[in-house]
Amino acid sequence: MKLLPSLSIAILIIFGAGLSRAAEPPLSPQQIIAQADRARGNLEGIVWTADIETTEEGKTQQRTLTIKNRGLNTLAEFTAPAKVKGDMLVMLDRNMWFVKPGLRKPVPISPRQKLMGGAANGDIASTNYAADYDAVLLREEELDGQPCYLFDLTANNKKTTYDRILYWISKDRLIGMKAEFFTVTGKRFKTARFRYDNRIQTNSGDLPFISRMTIFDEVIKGNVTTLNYRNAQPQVLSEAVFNLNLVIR
Amino acid sequence: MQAIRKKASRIERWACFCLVQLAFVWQVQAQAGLPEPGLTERIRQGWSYQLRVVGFGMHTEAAQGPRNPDNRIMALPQHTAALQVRPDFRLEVDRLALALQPRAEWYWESWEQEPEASEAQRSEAFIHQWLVRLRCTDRLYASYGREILQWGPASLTSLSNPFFEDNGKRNPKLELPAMDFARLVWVPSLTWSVSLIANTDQGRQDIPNAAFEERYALKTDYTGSADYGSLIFTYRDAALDQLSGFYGRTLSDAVLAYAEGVVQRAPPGRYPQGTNDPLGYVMTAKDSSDDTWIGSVLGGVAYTLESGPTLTLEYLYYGPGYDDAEAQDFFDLVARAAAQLRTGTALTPLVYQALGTTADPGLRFLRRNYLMLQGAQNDIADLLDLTVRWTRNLDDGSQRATLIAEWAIGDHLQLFAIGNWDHGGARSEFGSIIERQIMLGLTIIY
Repeated sequence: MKLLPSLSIAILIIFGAGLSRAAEPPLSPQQIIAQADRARGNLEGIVWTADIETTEEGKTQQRTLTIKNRGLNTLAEFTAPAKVKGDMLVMLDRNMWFVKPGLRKPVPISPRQKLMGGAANGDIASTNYAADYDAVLLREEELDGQPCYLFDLTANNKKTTYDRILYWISKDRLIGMKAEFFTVTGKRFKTARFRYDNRIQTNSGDLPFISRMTIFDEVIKGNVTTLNYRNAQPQVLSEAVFNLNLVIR
Repeated sequence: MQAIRKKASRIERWACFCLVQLAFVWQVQAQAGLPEPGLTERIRQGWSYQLRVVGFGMHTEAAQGPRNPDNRIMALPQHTAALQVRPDFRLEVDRLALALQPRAEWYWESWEQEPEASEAQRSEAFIHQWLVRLRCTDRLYASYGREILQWGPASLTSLSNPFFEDNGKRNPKLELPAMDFARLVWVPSLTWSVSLIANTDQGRQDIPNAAFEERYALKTDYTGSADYGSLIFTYRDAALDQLSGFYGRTLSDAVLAYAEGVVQRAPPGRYPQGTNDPLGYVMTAKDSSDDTWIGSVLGGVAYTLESGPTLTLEYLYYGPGYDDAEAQDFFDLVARAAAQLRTGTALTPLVYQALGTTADPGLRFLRRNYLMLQGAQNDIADLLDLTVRWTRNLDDGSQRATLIAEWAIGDHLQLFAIGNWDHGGARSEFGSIIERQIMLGLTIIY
């Protein structure tokens, strides 16, 4: 008989939780995309290492960078190979500078300028698709066996790296799984796939964090650029980290 | 000796200040019991270095003209060979950042021209740059050291920089001489920062025809979501010497637009002035008490093609440059002095003085209107960085072409070629000093 009250309470809790979940308003497309942005670095402070490998016309090249990121601001320092060691990219929202060690001054560069292979400078910065693109939910479909939202993102300002993106976001995990990037003329010029094997601890709890971004060139088939992310550590990064006056070169 | 003692005393004071700060910080952290890695581990994490060994050969062909007759004024070596060892050390631990860039270099130079061929060697070891910086608070940084401070978006010249006229773009393989600066940088937000900069010593910078004067600058920087700018007030002798600034904007994914400008109380250059002197003119500085302010402005736009290269177009109006009448007088003086030098008259000291000053009148540019077009692309096939630049003096029609190519062979070796070709008449800016200069070399990097 003692079992009955306990069972009733358990049923009430489960039922109540179900009611409470059902009462939650569904997330808007922008909220879903904002969640996906967080897993791609749009956080209040994070440091990670990126190993970039690109294969173009059968030739492979590699770079390693230490990336400090806070919101839309990024300081990326090349650590290998030796020929680029000490080179830096400073990205403050849409403003970008390239810094050579020693003698040269910071050179402003455009977001279109290539980082390496198929990767644009903007690809190592955190994404802010939620603010930079208007999203329309096209449909829901499965990708790699996972149910996904498929969004059509259209740039709402001229600052963006890409004019239009088709973006698959996992329904369960709210992380970006795949993106197809289009030019103004509507031509698909690259496709990216994402993996999230890293996890980070933030104030909001344990979050999945990007571990690999693979960019496939759709114009020259066979050209592939892979960005592997490791050692992701949330860290308090002061404003001064991103100040050009304080970059030692 | 007194100057050296004064400088040593200043460095000692800074070193003491830094050590006291460092001890204080460590003590506070120890008391707070912060779970930090040990000091040795923190030093290991914050330590980095790079070694570059640069060797090059350079051929210079002086222009045959009155400004440097028979190369007797500037004595430019026709051939140069050099070897430079350039280690860079950096340590960032807790609140302290240290940087040290010692240099060792050896030069061999030769002159083939009359009156007689000669050659010379020299070697030197020195500290190129060093820096001690303290993070006083998360938003306030204090530093002292020998630095090259560079800023501004322009390629042709950085008008807004009151300390360095050369922005290193003409030959990126030659290191600029650094000067001594004390700096206080306050970063209240990501959008704004304020720097107080004191230029305390000329360091290794050569200041022709003038003595070093301490200068102080208040620099306020702004960074928006797609634009940035800076306003710099520079003071000398407790009076505002110049007001300068720059602004840049990312117009789209591919297009950048920017501007730099300055208004100066008294430009540093020398100007031809008619006299009863046998040469007819003397080169004199503008009266610094004159309240006439002179302005200069540069506007630029850069476009990155989908295929990779970035094309840059810049227009410069340089206010302190000579107008047509001043240029006429300037080259008249040059021609008369050169003629006197060739005939070997008793005026020789006066002639040398005149040609010495006209060889470098202390202006960033000789005239007022310039156009620059540049194409650049880095990492072509993971091998080649290439820059091609063309600069035209719109007032006298002379022009300069520049090629900078850096070719990577593996991860540790880089070949480079840098060439400057000047073209113009004897009474033009780019045609009157150097005809061509070609530099070939290699860099070993570890």
